[in-house]
Amino acid sequence: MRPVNAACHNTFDRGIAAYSTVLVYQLCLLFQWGRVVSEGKFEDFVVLVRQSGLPYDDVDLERLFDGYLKLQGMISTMKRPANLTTGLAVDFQPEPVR
Amino acid sequence: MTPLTIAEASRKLTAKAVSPVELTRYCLDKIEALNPKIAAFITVTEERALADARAAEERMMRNERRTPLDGIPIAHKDIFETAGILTTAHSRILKDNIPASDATVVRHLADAGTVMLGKLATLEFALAGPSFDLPWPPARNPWNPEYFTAGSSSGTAAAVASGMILGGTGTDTGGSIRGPAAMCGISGIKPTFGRCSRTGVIPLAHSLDHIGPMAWTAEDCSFLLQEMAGFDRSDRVSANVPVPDFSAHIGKSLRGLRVGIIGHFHENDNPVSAETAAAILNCIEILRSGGAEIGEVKLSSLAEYSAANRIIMNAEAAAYHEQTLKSRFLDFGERMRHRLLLASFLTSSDYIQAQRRRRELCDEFACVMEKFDVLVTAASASEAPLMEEVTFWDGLEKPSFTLPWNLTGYPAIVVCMGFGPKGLPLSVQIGGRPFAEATLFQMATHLEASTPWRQRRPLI
Repeated sequence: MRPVNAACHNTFDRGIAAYSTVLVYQLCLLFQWGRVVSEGKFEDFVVLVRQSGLPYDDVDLERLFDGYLKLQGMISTMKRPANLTTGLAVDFQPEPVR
Repeated sequence: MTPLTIAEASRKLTAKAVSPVELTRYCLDKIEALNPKIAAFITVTEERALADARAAEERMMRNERRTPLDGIPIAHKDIFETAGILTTAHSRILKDNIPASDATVVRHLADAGTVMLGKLATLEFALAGPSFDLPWPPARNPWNPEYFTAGSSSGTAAAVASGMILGGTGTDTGGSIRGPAAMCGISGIKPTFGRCSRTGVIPLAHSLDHIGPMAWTAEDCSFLLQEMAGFDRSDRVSANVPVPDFSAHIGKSLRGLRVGIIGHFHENDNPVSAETAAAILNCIEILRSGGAEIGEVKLSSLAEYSAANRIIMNAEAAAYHEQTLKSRFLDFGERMRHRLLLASFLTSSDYIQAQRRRRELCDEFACVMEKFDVLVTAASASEAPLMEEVTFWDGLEKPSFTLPWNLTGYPAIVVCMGFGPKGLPLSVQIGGRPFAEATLFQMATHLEASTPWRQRRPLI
């Protein structure tokens, strides 16, 4: 297993974590996180995991990254929906008040 | 005594040729002998089973059997809540969880007179596995314990195939009834979305979760579904529709029924083994010679259906487990915590787009089903894999044949159609129109009666 904390500290050492909150936010808006990381940079993914606020003790980050790429690949196989303007994604009808 | 189907056992009970207590003791003996090897059961409720059996025997002696299931030994996947009985979801997180009440479906089956033998293995929270770092081992395939059962209703499939139970409950969010049923050579149906109440069943993904029966034959599944189905106001998606006689069409001619073959699913989108392809062709020929009209169907690719389903499933699962993931991360098994962590990186946009795409795919399905009564494709690409060959990200690597029916909510059943070179079962999948489960039982029973495969049991 890749030593998680060491990898993260190295990442920090190289300054990747120097993204400011504002810059990260702007990147999220522009590209969405997944699309940025899916370019294939493990170091970016490590930053994503650290900043997610989720626990990752005892997690094999390389294995997780492998899954992440598979997930992104799967998402990319789905066609963009044709109709983005009308209708709700999930059926919902208000019910009369009893 | 050899393993009986529910139909056979029910006839014997009505004729008083066997007693519910004898039947229950036979199953308990099987469990004692085989469970150390197959690991289908997490909890065996022997006292409860014998009490249920004695009560059923009294009714039988008074000629007051409640239903064809009265006195029939069954068990529940361990994500169905059972009052006063451990319900773990096969997870350390719930290792001491004793619910106060029964799930609606558990109650329905108890009211029908069934004998409850216990709780069955699953994947952790019906999502991740096989796992060897949990308090209980994964279930193994009775046809060869070195092989996987598929998941997540793995314990139910293994217990039915090995004769430990005559039937049981399963849940299906992406194929968790049909996959294990196919790998273990039994019958399993995912009914229409909303047909069976999910109240009291630990969710995986609320917009895709279905409850259904598993048994040796399709007819047996029809008996179980008869008692499991019905409107339940406590489940917001429960369908307020009549429950028909699910076995009403069994034995009737297939003449006039229109069968669509989704060839591109199993020929191009996820090419199946030569043996599975032959099993599908055999299935088509039997249906054709039975009077059905056969046509070809073209849908969007299996990968599209799979992607939409898996995005929704993973996002909803991550939402359900969000708090526990943060507070008890290391109490999850390795596969489960990796899976949930990964799912947490899906964006809201991913989820919304998948739901929108789902609507479009549902429209496509509805359009095709105006022309056909049922659709046929593979249930799996080949025989079961070796347990050790199941990859870590198994669920993300290839499109699955079962996912389109979860996405659309339409019913689908699997039928054993032979055995492969490893001696493991091969199955086909038949999907139907919403709330037309009776047609699936008719088709599946016709296939079972036209082939010798229901006569073959695992040699364990």
